[in-house]
Order: sequence, then structure tokens, then C-alpha cells
Amino acid sequence: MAGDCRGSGRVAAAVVASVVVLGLVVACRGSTDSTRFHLCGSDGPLAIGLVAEGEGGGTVAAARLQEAQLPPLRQVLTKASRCELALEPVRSPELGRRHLERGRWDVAFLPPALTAFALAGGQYRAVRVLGREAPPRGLIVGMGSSVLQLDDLEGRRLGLLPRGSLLGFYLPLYNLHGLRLAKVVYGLTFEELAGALGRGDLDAIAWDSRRSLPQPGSRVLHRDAHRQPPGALVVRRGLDEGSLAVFLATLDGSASQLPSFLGYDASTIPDSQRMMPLQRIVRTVESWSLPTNGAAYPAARPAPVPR
Amino acid sequence: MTRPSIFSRFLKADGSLPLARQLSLTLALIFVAATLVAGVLLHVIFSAQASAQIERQSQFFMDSMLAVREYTSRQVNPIVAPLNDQGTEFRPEAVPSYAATSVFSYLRSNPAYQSFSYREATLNPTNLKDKADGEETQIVEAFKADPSLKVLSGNRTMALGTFHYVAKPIRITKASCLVCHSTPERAPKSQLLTYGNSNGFGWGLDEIVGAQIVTVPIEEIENARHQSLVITSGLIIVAFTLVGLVTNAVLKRLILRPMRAMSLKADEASVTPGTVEFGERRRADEIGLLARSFERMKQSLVISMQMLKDRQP
Repeated sequence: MAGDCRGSGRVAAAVVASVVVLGLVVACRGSTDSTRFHLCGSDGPLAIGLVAEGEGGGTVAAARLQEAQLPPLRQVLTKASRCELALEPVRSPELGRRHLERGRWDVAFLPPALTAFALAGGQYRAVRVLGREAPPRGLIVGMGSSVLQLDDLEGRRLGLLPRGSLLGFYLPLYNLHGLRLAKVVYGLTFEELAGALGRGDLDAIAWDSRRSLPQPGSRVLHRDAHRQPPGALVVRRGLDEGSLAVFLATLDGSASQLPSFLGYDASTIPDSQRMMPLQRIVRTVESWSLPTNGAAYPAARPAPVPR
Repeated sequence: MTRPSIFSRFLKADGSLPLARQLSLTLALIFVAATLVAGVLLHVIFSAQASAQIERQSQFFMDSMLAVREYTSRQVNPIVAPLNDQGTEFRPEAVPSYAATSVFSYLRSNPAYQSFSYREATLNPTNLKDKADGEETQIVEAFKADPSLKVLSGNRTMALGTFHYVAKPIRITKASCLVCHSTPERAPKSQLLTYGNSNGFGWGLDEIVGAQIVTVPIEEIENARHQSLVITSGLIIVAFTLVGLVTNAVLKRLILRPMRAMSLKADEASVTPGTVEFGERRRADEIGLLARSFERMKQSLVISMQMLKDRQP
């Protein structure tokens, strides 16, 4: 009788052991989720912004060329982050500025002004240099213009690039502070502004002095004395440092595969001191009420600029 | 004399083992065979079920996003779009696809839906974030090539692994869409300032311009299948264990214990039959039948022994 009990007891024990082993297998399978990479966004994809296009230089042909370079960029970024990507290339610095203000991007490739904007907001920090320091830029006027100096722009019509552009928005407004403009018009590209200047719709426009003048007879009215520091790759504060280090190391290692228009400088950390004057300008201009398209600016005479 | 089969030898059905052990071995063998067969069948069934469930959920997401697009198009756009004609700030809230992807991102913050990903992949989008990649372009082209095609599904291999996708075409059915998507001249100035004039134009009415695509990692489907399989297999094992234990207990109580008791009484009856009584004879079952036979045998033995005793001088 004792033998019979031992026999059936062994079978029961074997069955119970099988159940326990299966339970362990399930538990082990469940625990694999804890290895999730921390660079990915809180709601899944890693949001990456790209405003790397030269300010005001967008043409349809350039846009098509950049589009063709996006798939390899996406591939490198996916490999580096090991995350599902929400890569958002934007043409307008205004859209980039809004996304940065709302913290919608985890990582962003930015031109100088938006880098300054992102750093001034305190949500981001710069981790790599993009592009090179640029020479001063300025304002130009059309053929036969009676405008000889900045003060002559009082009551005139001005063409700017969208909010978020350094040389097309922040610097001109900063330099013209105190003047009352009859009308401010925005254009996405210098070509668009040059067209309006040529048609006589505007009296002065922001201009990249590296470009040749748009029409014969047009001339440079003012060159800005501020130097334009390079742009930067910025990352949202709070991202896991270890994962970020892996991400940057992979990007540095793949720098040659990144699109040339990014100007990605592997292993170079931006000099925050050089960005400080720009941050001050961006912060100052952002603190004003800003011009709307087609309207006079400002409605009332502004307060003195805090220097 | 017939040779015992492998089955019989394995079960020791030749009587060399106690009944309880023979029964336990038989049940264990049935249990293993049944679990194996059930495992294979369940694997196939749960694979199909997991895929079907993911497809149902994906279709539900896409239908929900279509509803969001419709709501935005009918009720939000008429209010917000005029704002885009004034000023420089473009309000994307007026755009159906923006509303759909935004709603989905909120939905995705719920851990239950975190593995799902939703894209409105477009061949020529206004926002390059929605630009279709190589495989997405193939999906959109398939819809364009066969306008009767309503849904496509399959697997895609991407940098992060293999994903299952379900896709539906995005067709331009409202003329109001063409305000922003026909020519840059018709588009609001704020849109051009925000997105430029090089993308998202040239769309036509009734044209398929992109696809709603829901993707789920294959691993997620395998996890769902694995989980169902393990739970069901666990339940089968528990059920078999209970059946085995109960069967053994019943066998002991109804058969083995009375048989052992009768065996002891029969041993005793062989020496002093007059003092033994087979109480089990009152039972109506086979044990009672056996007990009555023993009782008759015992009576015969008592009579025989009495006769022997009477013949002695």
C-alpha cells in the first residue's frame, strides 16, 4: 500500500513541477520588457526635429535634394537610438521654434537662432556643433532707394524671414528697435523677399550677405556686427545619459553617412559662451510683442532695449 | 500465448505492478500525449487568433482615426481654417491628419496601446514627417494601382525588427482639402510660411495620396500567442493533475481498500472461518458480489471443517 502511494505521489509531484517550470518560463518572458532603451520618447517614438536648412535658402530643388537624403539619415538615427523615430524635417524656423517651445522634440538639429532659443528656454542642451560660424549679415534696399541708414526706415515697409530665423528675424528687429515700421511682411525664402523688393512692395529686406545682390542697383543698407555662431544638435534635458552617450557615439562613428547639409561635427561640443550674446538677443526680442504679417509694427513706441 | 504490446509492457499491465501505479502510469501517458497534441493545435489556433485580434484592433484604430478626421474636417476646420488666412501662425488643428495623429499619440500614452504605431504615410506630404518611406510608398502605390483594394496587411522588416502592418488608403474626397493641397497660390500664407511651397501640392479630388498604416511588432503577436498558450496549457495540466488525484483517491476508497480488507479476512478465514464476517457482502456493487462469494466459501469451509471434526473418533 505504501508503494502505491509513493508511485502516484511521484506522478503528482512531476505534474506540479511542470506547472512550476511553466510559470517560471512565463515570468522570464515577462521580464524581458525591462530592457527598454531609455532614449525613446515617453509615448513611444523618439521625436527628432530637423531645421538644418540654411536660413531663407530653401528652394524647391534644394528641398527635393534634402528629401533624398532623409532615408539614410533616418537609418543612421534609428541605428543610433534603437527607437522608433518620428523624424520631422521642417522648412520654417517658426515651426521649429513652436515645437521647441512646447518641448515636442527629444532631439533636434538646429540652426544658430533656434539653438539659442532652445538653450534660452532651459529645456535643451547642445551636444554637437552643426555647420560653421558665419560672417555678419544685414539688410538691403532696392534700386534707387532713398533709405541711406537704419533710421531712414521709419515708416517704411520691411521684409523678414519667419520668426525663429537669426539673420532674417531676430537681428533685424533687434537692430531696428525704436523705429516704427509701416508694414512687416514675411517670406519663407530670400528669393521671395527679393521678389517683393524688386516689385517695389517692400523698402528693405533681410539678406544673407554671402549671396550676391538680387537685382542690379540694390545695395547693402546695414551689416550686422554680431557674428553668427554655428548651429547645434540639441537634446532635451532628462534623457538617460547612458543611452545618450551610446546615441552620440554611434552618430560620431557614422558622421560620414550623415547628409552633408547637416554640417555635423563629430565629437565637438558647442561652446556655450559663444552662444550667450545670441541667447540674450533672442530672449530680448522674444520678450517684445512681435510683428504680424502685413501689419504695422509696433502699434506703440517700444521701451528701450535692455543692453 | 500472445506477446504483450509495448504499451502493455510500459504500463506493466501484466500484473507485475499494483493497480494504483498502473492507473497513475496510464493517466500520465494520456496526459503527456494529450498535452503534446493540444499544444500543437493550440499553437496553430492561437497564432491565427492573435493575428486576427491585432488586425481587428488595427482596423478599429484606423476607423477611429477616420472618425477623428471626419470630425475635424466637418466641425473644427470651418472654425480654425479662417484663422490661417490671417496672421502668420498656421494652426495645424484645422488639418484632419494632424488631428488624427495627435489623437493617436494620446491614445498611445495608454500602456495597453504602446506597442501600436500609426502613420499617415503620404507620397507628397505637407509636413515631411509624414513622407512615405520605401515600403510605405509600395503600399500606397498598390492602393493607387487597384482602387478597389480596401485593406492591405502583411509583415515589414525594419531597422528595429519585423512588424506586422495593416493599411487603408487615404483618398481625397472633399474639395476643401484642395485649398491647402492644390497649388501654393491657393494655400494660406501662414501655411507657406510654416511648411514652405515645395511640398504637399498638386493633389487631385478622388486621388489616393497616402495610406493609414498601423504597425505592431511581430514580437507582440508572438507574446500574445505565447501567453495564451501558456495559460491554456497550464489549465490543462492543472485539470489533468486534479483528474489524476481524484481518480486515485476514488480507486483507493472504492476498490483497493475494501479488497485489501477482504484479503486480510480471507487469510484469517483460512484458519478460523467461524470468527470472520465479510461485512462488504451488503454492498450492491462488484465488491459486494465478491464479498458474498467469499462468505459462501467461508460457510462451505466452516461446514467442511465441522464435518471433519464430527468424523474424528
